[in-house]
Amino acid sequence: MKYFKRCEEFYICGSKDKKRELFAESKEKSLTLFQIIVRGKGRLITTFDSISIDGNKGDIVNCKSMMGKDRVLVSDKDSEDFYEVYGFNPLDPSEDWDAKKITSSFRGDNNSWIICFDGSATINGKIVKKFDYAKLEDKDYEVEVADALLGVFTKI
Amino acid sequence: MKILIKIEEYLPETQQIVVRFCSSQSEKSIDEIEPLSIDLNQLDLFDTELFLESLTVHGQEVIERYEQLQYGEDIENGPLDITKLLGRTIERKKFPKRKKLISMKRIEL
Repeated sequence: MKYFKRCEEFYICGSKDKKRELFAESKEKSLTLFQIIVRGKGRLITTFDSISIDGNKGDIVNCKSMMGKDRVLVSDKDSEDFYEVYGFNPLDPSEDWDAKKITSSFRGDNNSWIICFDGSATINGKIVKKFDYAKLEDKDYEVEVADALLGVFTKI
Repeated sequence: MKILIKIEEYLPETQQIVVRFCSSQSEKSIDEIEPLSIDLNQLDLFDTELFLESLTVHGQEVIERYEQLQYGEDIENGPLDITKLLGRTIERKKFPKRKKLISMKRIEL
C-alpha cells in the first residue's frame, strides 16, 4: 500500500507492506530527497547506473543522488515481517533540503520542520505522536526522544 | 471502471446492431443512454468472446468521448474558503486506489 500527504512546504509519501516487495518509481516522479525507514530494511537502486543505498530501521537516508532517476526499492527478505518506509519530497523539485535525525535537544530555526514518523516523544513538555509535525522557530527545543523517530528537515 | 453493454436490436439486412454503452460508474441507468448503431463489419465476428471484446473497445471509445465532454474547473491552491467553491463544477484527478492519505497532523511546539 502506498501513502501520501501534502503539507505546507513538502509532501510525504510512504510504502508499507509485507516483506520482500518491490516498489518502482519512474524518473519523473523520483523526487524523494530523504527516506525514513520506520520498520524493516531495504535497498534502493537506480536502473541505469550502479547507485545503491542501504537503509535500516530508524535511518533517515539521504537519496538526493537518485533524484530524477528511475528507482526501485527492494525490501530485505530477512527483515521484519512488515516494512514501513516514508519519503520526504520538496513541493518544488528545484529546492534543496537538509535532514537530520533528532536524538537529543536542539536549537531550531525558521526554515525547518520537525516530523515524528514513529513512536512518541516529549518536546518542550508537549507529547508528540506519530505523524505529528510542526514548523520550528529560532529557539531551543528540549526533547525526550523515548521510542520516537524524529526528523528535522531544513530548507537550504 | 467496467463497461456495460446492451444490444437492443440486431439488423441482419443491414448487418448492423443497435447498442447502448454505459460506464458502471454512471448514475444513469443503461436504458436511459442514447443507443448507437454499429456496422458489424467494424467488429470481430469470429466468436462470442472476440465479438464482445471488439464491442468493448468500441464502447470504451464512446464512453471516453462522452467523458471528455464532461469537464470542470481547475482550482488553484490557496487558503480554504468553502464559500468560493460553492456552485462550481470542479475537476480533479481520481485519488489512486492503491494510495491512502497519511493522517499527519500539524501541531505547535
